[in-house]
Amino acid sequence: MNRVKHLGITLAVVISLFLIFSQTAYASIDVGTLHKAAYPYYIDAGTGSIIIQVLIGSFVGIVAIAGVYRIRVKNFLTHLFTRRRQDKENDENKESEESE
Amino acid sequence: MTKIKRVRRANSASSTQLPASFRDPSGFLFQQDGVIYRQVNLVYKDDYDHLMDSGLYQALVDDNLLITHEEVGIESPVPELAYRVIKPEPIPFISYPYEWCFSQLRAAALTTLKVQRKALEFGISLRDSSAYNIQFKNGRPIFIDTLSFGEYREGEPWVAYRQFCQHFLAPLALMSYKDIRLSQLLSIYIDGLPLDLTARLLPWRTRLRFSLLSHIHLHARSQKHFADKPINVGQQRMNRYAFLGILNSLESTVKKLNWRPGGTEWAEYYQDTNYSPQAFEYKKTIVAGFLDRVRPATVWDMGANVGIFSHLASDRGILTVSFDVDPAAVEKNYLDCVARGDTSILPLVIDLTNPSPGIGWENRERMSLKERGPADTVLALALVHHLAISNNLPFGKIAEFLSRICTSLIIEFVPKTDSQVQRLLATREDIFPDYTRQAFEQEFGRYFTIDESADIRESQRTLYLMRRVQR
Repeated sequence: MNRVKHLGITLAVVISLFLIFSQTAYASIDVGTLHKAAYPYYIDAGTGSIIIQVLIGSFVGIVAIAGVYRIRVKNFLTHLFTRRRQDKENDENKESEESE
Repeated sequence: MTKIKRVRRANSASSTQLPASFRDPSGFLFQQDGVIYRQVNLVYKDDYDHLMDSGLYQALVDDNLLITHEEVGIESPVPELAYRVIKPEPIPFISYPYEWCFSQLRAAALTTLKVQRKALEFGISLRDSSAYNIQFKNGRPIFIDTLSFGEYREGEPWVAYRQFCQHFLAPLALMSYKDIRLSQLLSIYIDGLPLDLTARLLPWRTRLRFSLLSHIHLHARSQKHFADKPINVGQQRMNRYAFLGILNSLESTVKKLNWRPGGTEWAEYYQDTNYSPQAFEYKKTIVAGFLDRVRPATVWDMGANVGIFSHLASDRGILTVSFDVDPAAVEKNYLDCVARGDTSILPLVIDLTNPSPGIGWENRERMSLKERGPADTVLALALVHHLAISNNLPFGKIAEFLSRICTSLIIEFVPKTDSQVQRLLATREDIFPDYTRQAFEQEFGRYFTIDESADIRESQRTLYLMRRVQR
């Protein structure tokens, strides 16, 4: 019983995350129209495998986007902080030069 | 299917299409005058040109992730389908996933993901992720299928995701969480382990890990649920971030899987020898002397344990395949080779009493062990008593088999009075009156000539150097 409940909760979480995030994550990116391969894939990708992959992908994709933006934000803040410090140092240098 | 039939009919007498290469319509492998070539079919022209012109081929080769090839002007066996004929760099010994130890399969999985990740940077994606696309060259995994690369179309999911989970993730999870011997399921299921079977075999606690819950358990359920539902898969979209997220997730899942035998430290695992240190050194000296006398190009060390004697061969630059039935011994051997930077040894899990058979379509897709021989020299050290006493194999049968897989043989005879043989006999009745040195020499004499023999000091054992009798 617990097992079913646990799986149900996990599925509900995964599916709801997909529904929530897919709107924001995908609407911003134009995937274009699907054009055909030069010839069909020779392996069977498997319907169930593709669908679960898209589901998992929507979840872990958010993590990947978050990772990218985390680095961008971090770089931005580092840059901002460094620039302010440099400005401050430059100001101090100017002041000391002027006092001399 | 029509194309495959045409290919087979059109084979010329001097070219033979290899039986491992027929599923992919983009090309096939063939052999001509003992050299292996790959035909690139016209249907794969755009993707092949893209692989070569985009810079991906060179980038993968530079990172030792893909075997090199050269375009050659030889006559194609099926000229009407041919775009190019390429000559791939040869792989000295072909091995299969069911012969790899845990870390080898894991390294192969990570190599596949690295190739896919690199390909994505060039707008290319792997169209399949079979474990058979990886071989070990210089002891390290490398991607060998030049025709697996196709254009990545933005928004398309990874077509090879199912195959990756079945060929790599499922066996690794089972080996790690359940039993290392379950790697052998790969020899039964040639297109990877069914995920429903994997999910049933894995312990319940694996559902508590998001990665295994999603890539194995929910994946298996999804496969079952959608098995008979007609759905337009082409409408399923997955952007590049999601694609990268899948690759990241698979990579971290694979990296977190690990295995240690019985939870012990490696150093404690192998102390099982009755040699004195002097006798052991003397044995090494004799084997090294025999190797220097024969000077083989290839050595198969049968029953290699952790590969101590394989190193004698590999230190001489000899390509050495180091077989053992114990996955823990092979694992230690492989990890030691990686740590030492030894590139001449390939450790593999093989049960000599039931060596890998030919499997797949017509039993010819994957070669039997015997088909991959013969080796120049076989090392059979501390092996005969296991075969003769634990497995009831008569000396004649052992000699006959060994004569089929080598041209020279370095073999150790362990007499009944040896403590290791006594240990084998302790749990069973001694029904081996013919287990004597005289019978051993007589039976092996039917298949080999004895070049030299040397008693190992401070032990009761004898080493022989034998050459196969020319027939």
